[in-house]
Amino acid sequence: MELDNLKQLWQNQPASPTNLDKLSEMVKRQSGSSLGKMRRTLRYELLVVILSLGAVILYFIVTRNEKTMDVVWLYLALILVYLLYFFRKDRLLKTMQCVTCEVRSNLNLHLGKLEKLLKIYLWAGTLLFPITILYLGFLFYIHIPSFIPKNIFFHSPAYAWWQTALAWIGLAAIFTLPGYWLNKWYVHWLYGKHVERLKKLTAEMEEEGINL
Amino acid sequence: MIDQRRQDEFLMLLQENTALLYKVCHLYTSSAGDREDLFQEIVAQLWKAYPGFRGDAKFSTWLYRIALNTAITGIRKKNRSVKIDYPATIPHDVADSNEEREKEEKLRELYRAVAQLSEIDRAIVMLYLDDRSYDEMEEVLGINQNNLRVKMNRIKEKLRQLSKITTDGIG
Repeated sequence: MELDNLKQLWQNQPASPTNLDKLSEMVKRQSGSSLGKMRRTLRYELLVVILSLGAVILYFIVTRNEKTMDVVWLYLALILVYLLYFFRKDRLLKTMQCVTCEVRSNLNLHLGKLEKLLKIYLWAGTLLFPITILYLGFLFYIHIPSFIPKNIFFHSPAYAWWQTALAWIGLAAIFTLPGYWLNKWYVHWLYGKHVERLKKLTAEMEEEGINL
Repeated sequence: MIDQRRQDEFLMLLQENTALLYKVCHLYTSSAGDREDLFQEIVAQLWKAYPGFRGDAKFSTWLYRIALNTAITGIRKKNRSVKIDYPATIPHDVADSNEEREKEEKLRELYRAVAQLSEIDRAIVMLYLDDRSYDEMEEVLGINQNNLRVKMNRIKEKLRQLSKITTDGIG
């Protein structure tokens, strides 16, 4: 039996009948693809970040005093950084697929954009460690009274501000390295197989006939 | 009003081509649930892309591209390995006669064999079995015709070998 002899059988195979009403219903539904879900999740994430950080900012503005206004600026800066992350990620997700393109070019596009997105994940996740630690350091240095004397991490007359700053930077560096590896492992766990699969498919499509 | 007319027009075209979509879904999924999800997703992508369809390419080319792109690049669920079996879509009354049963068995064998190919080779086989020209295959896949011919020969050979390994299947 040859593949050519199966063409007729293949072309005439029965398919489950799908009526117009069912198709019409499908057209109205939201995309259930992973990319669609990721974009929706990203929007919810934006909403949560804006609402929670906005509430904190509002609180500090209402209970305004000289000491806490710098915290407001810090939170505003955090929102700005998050917005940059949001727009970059959203744009990547939006342009990650060109379903009307040739399969080969769509695969290349998808793989390239996905790798960029994973880099963003990796760096955003890694930077969270030093940012959080330095933020805590800033709060402690500015706002916590020197309840632990002679401790380099807290505001103490025994140490100059730059010594305290260096101590916090050192602490942040210590956490950043494991943070990087942790993120790398996590990103690989989430998308590693998919990326490998795409690379394999792309390589297969790039194969020249002469090499086959 | 125009939107409704456009939607009706789209649905008619879609209904005429559901067999093609089912084939793609059967080739790239392993369970009824995944199949349904993929079918739904392809329909959603087709509808999203429909306003941009101006008839520059054949409708079937456009349809194949979207269906295959959706099936191939979709991020798989962790346990969605591709172990394909022939779909249980043949109505019992149709498969009653010996001749029909034989056809069904042949199709099953074909699906089993094709399932062992790579995802790209599966797309090539599908287009080949659907009697698409190499021109159209190139337009859908983006692989040049010479390479497609070489790949096709290699696939045929692989299927022959696979059928030798299994019973007296394809080959």
